[in-house]
Amino acid sequence: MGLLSDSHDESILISKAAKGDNNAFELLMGTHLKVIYNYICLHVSGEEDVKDIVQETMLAVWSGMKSFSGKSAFRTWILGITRRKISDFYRRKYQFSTVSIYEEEASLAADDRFDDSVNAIDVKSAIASLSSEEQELVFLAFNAELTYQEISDIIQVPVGTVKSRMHNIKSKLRKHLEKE
Amino acid sequence: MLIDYLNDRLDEAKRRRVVAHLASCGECRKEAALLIRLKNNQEMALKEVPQDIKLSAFDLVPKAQPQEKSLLAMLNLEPVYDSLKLVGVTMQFMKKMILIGGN
Repeated sequence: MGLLSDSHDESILISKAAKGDNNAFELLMGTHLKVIYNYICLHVSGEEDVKDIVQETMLAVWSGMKSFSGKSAFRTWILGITRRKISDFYRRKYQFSTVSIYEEEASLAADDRFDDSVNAIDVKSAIASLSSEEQELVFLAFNAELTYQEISDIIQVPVGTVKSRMHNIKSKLRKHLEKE
Repeated sequence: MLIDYLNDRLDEAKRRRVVAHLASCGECRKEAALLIRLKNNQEMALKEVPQDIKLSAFDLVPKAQPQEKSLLAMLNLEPVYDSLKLVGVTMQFMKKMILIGGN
C-alpha cells in the first residue's frame, strides 16, 4: 500500500501532521495521492475539476487531521473524505438539478475516454461492462486495497451488501471472461 | 477473505488458514486466479498523477507560520526592555529593604 507500507512510519507522520507539520503532511499524503487521484478520475472527467477536487480533499484532510481518531485505517478515512468532496462537486454542479452522481457517472462511462481503452484487454472490457457503482467497488477493493468493512464505511451501506455486491461482480466477470 | 489475502491485509494466522484452504479447494483456487487477474489489471490501469496536479495538490493547505515576532523584537528594543526590567526589579528590592529597615 504505497511507499509507507510500514504502519509505524505512517502513524509517526500522522501524529506530526496533526500537530501542524506541513512537511509531514505532504509526505504522508504524497503516498496516497495516486489512489486519491484515480478515485476522483473514476467519477469526474474534467482535468481542472479533478485538480480542484484534489486540492479541496487535501485541505479537508488537513483541517480534519486533529479529529482523525485512528479507529479506521487512514486510507479509509481519506477516501471517505475524497468521496464527500466528489459529492460536493456534483451538488455544486447540479445545484438546481436532480441528476445524481451515478447518473453522471453512467454518462461518463459511455464517454470516448473509456471506449478507447477498454477493447484491448479482456479483463478491461469485463470491468467496463460493470455499472459505475460496481466499478467503484472494484477500485476500492483492488486499488485502495480496503476490506469489505472499510468499503462499507466509505460507501455507507451494510457490510453484507458490500459482500453480496462483490459476489455479483465476480459472477459477472467470470461469465464475461468465460465467453472469450 | 481471498481479496484481503491478495491485498496482504490478513494477520499471519488468517493468512495461513487461507493458504491451507487454497491447497485443498479447487473452486477457491479458480476464484483466486480470477481475482489475481483482476487485481493485476486494476493495478496496471491506475493512471500516473500528472505533474501539475502533484505540484498544486497542497496549494489550499495553509503553510505553518513561523512564530510572530513581538513589537519589541521587530523594533530591536529587547535589550533596552531587559535593562529597564532589571532597573525596575532592583528598585523594588531596594524599596523592600528600606521598608524592612524602617520597621
